[in-house]
Amino acid sequence: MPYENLTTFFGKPVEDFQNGMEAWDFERAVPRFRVAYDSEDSVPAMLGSYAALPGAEATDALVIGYWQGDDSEGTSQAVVEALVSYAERFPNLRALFLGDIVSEENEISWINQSDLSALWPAFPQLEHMQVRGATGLALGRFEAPRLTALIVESGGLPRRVVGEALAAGAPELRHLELWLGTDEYGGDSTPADFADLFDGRLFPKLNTLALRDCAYADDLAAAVAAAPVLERVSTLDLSLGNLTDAGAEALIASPAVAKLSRLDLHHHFLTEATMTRLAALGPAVDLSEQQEPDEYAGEIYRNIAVSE
Amino acid sequence: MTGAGDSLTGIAPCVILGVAGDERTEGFSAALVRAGHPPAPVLDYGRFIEAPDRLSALFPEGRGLLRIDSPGGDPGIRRALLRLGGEDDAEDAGGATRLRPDHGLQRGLTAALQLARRVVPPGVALTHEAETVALFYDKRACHAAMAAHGLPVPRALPPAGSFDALVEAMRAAGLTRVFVKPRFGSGAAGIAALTVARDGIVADSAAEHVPGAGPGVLHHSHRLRRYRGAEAVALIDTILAQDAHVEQWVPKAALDGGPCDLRVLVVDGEPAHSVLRKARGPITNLDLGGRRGEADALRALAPPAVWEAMRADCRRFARLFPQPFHVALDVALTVGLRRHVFFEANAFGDLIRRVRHEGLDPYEWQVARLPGWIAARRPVGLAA
Repeated sequence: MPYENLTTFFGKPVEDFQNGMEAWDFERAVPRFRVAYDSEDSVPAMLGSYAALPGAEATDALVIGYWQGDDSEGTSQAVVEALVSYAERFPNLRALFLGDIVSEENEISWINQSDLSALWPAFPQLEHMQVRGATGLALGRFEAPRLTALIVESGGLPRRVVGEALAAGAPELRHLELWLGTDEYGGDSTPADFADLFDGRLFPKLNTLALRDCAYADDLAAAVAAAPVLERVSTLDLSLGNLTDAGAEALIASPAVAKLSRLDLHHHFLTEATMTRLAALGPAVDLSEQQEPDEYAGEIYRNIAVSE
Repeated sequence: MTGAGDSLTGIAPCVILGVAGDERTEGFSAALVRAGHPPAPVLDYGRFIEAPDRLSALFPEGRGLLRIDSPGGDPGIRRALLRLGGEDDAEDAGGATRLRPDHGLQRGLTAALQLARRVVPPGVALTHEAETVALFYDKRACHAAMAAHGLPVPRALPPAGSFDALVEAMRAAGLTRVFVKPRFGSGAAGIAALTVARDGIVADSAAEHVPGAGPGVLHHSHRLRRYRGAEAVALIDTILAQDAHVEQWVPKAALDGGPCDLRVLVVDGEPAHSVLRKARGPITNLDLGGRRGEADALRALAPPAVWEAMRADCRRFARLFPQPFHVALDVALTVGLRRHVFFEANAFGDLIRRVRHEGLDPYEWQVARLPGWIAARRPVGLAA
């Protein structure tokens, strides 16, 4: 579903860095590194050029775009290695987006990620970590003392990666966002995988809980609606999934949900009557993008927003 | 339009070889009338092929303009063109939506236009010549011609006869995503946007196999759908078996949440009407769900130098292929908005609805530009 590249990131405009640039306004813009369709460049080489610029140590945010180039099997591994090798030039890096790739470049489930373990010790100042694509992805077991936002966008998030995210040593984490996706693309998590999180044993400062693009949204809603973690968060985001009235009933019945300040359910399969009740619940509720089920060969399909 | 008297002598009589009563011929004729000219008689391709003298009889004074228009999709005209191109009628079974290797149609259209050139008096200007129409209609040849002239185009892959051969070629080129286009044809009929990744194969296309029609037969469903795995392989195999042009899938810049490209109508060498085509997926054609937009919306996003470079290349294209009075170019700005890339050239792409250039619709604009175009091309001595 991501159709458009970032225009801003970490509070600044995003601009493409191009090989040959001899200067960069580090205060003004966040550089994005990506290869064009006919380019001989590579993202690691561009990172090297950027890292060599005088003043590069002021960099606080980096965006990595399409890296594949002519290597059709190209994973993010070479990019990760390059980032780690230039880590000394980026001592103040606070935000990283690895995979600002739109569907015209590559569908989210075809993005070949890699093991990101080495990034965490290399960039201890990281506050915002965002990854698109879960194929081949590993977060590793990691400590991220300053991390406040962890976002993994995918069309199918393996429970192994869910487990890595939830095991993070991230005491400052405020925003946890996981796109769970479908089992057709490796999304094999279940509500039970979130038991520790829902019980409130993780991330004491959590403020936004976003479990999006979920193919078992009703079960997830039921599991989270009565969970102690809701006493802690002010925003619950179950958007992009296949929520129906069954899941909504659990949300409506929950006193903790009524006390949220925001409830994001956009892209859903709710009926009008249920939408009306949700809207009156208390939080600001996003009920946009109501979906109609597809019928194919006598079967009803309620598709999540992002799978391929 | 000023100087109607002069221009009238320049383009009268104006005759259309096309499809009587269709939106194109009606639109052009109406534009003539609005500019103070008489309406253009329309000679149907079928009736022309039946008796070519019907065309020469429309130019009793030996001068004027013959506007060549699209033969459209009418089955009768199609059969007449195929016969003229030396194809046997039997090939043409399967109804209007069937996708065919349309080399025969191209040959027929080329023969018809050559015939038209021969039968009309030498003082008559034709808006198109057979060779250029044939070139634009052959996607592989047109791509090669653009590439040879240094116009930016996607990388082409060598012809492949099967899915397996294509995958080999993609691997050799380091590509995971390509467009597979029937070599002959227009519009998005039969086109597939193909991804071959480590874990799967996906193709978006409006072509479909129809139950009972046989494995080698595809129909144009006018509706995009996504094929996966074996279904995608079967689809691509069938398109390739009918001869296809394959090129790199160049990521198009996005606008309003989806990829977009432009149809730019170049008239008499100058870019005139453009329409933006916005889609949710890789195929932007308006008849397949692409939404129209204002070209200026993309222009506003792009660096001015990038936009101007695109327009300069549209002009350069027109200079390289000067015969047609107009050509419609499909061109995109790529992700990042730093370059442009040409996909196709359309000889009959001037039916662009609800877009005005300097206050005129595409037909009115052409009527206004025709006298100058004719004057510039007419060899000395042939002036009326």
